[in-house]
Amino acid sequence: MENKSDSALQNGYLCCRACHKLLTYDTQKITLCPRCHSKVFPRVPYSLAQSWALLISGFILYIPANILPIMSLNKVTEMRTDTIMSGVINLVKIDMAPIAIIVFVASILVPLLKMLALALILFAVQFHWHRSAVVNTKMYRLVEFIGRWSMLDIFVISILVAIVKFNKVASVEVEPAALLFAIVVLLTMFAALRFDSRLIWDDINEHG
Amino acid sequence: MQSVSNIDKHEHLCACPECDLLIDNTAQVKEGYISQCPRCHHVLQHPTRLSMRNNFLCVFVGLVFYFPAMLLPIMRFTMLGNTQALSIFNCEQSLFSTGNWVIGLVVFFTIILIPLAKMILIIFITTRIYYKIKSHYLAASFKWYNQLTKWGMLDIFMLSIIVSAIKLHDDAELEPGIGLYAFIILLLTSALQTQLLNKKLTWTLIERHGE
Ligand SMILES: [Zn+2]
Repeated sequence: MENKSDSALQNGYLCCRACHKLLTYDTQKITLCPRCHSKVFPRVPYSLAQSWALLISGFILYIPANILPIMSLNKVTEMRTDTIMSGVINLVKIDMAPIAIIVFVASILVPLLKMLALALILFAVQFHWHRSAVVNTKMYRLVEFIGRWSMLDIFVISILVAIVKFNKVASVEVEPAALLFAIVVLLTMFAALRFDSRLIWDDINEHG
Repeated sequence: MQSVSNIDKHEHLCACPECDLLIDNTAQVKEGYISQCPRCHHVLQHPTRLSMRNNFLCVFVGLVFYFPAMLLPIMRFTMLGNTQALSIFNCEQSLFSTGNWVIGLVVFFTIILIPLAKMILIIFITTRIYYKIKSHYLAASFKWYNQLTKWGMLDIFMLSIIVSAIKLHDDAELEPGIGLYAFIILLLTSALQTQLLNKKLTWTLIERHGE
């Protein structure tokens, strides 16, 4: 990096997180943004702690969400209970490999990679690891962007429940893992949202 | 509160909201050009492609197609002589009636409520700015709009319609309904409006008309 004290905070400025207006930092009192009336803090208070709490809760629920059944299909001829993974395998069996890949990426790969990436970023910030801030920022942006797509499976189940309703002939039921999985996606989305990405750059601001 | 003169002195400066780098505005941010943070490459401003008027029109079209998209059948499903129609509204209904109210609430917020709320907020904001009507609620509305944008999931729902159609494809006959076309138009206008809205410019205009 070219100069050492690059950050707005070190130069006595605050940036409003809601509307991005630049304000002068008054250390004596809490600053109110004159444009959007939000409270402006130098960094989001308790950002790391809250992100950790949400992420760890998400990770704990992720395990039963993958083991327990997510939906069941009751037909006259058969009764089938699916977990997330067996749903993907079934798609492969009926020669729908491209869709199977989409579902696999959205419901298994993305949540797992997202939690690992977020944990890596949080560790790096917490313990001042000398990791590339550019890489961390890119990872964080990716996490923010792809996280919501994990809702795919939840919506698919919602549609199937509504449409496969033929009393005794065929019906789909939502099983407990769907609820857990929805909560995992929400928790990890909140975890990414609570994290203040400016923390990634604060070590570089200080040490150059 | 900050005094106005205090802020105006630093008008040529801005901070990158993602990495807090202090940036000299005059060289970086020109109206109508894409500009990025030199350190973390966060996009500070997209080129203006959608005026307040076109933003309004875009949302207006979306609003016209909103209710057909929610209420009319998205697809029809025929199995052993029985036909079942699916609309977002009865998708919601069956989630609640089967006791899955948490998932029901997730669908309600991300598919039904937030897209509608976003459109109403944009109509409120753009008409106020266009006709230069002063309002205290402008800043709060736009703050809400920016929060809600992260939680609207129409695009994901579209993909899940495709995935579930393919899953059902083998078992029965499927045909698209009018609701599907309305939903696609709603999705496109919503995506276009969200992508092309110039947030920086909107905040500047709100500051001018807000108080
Ligand atoms: Zn503000």
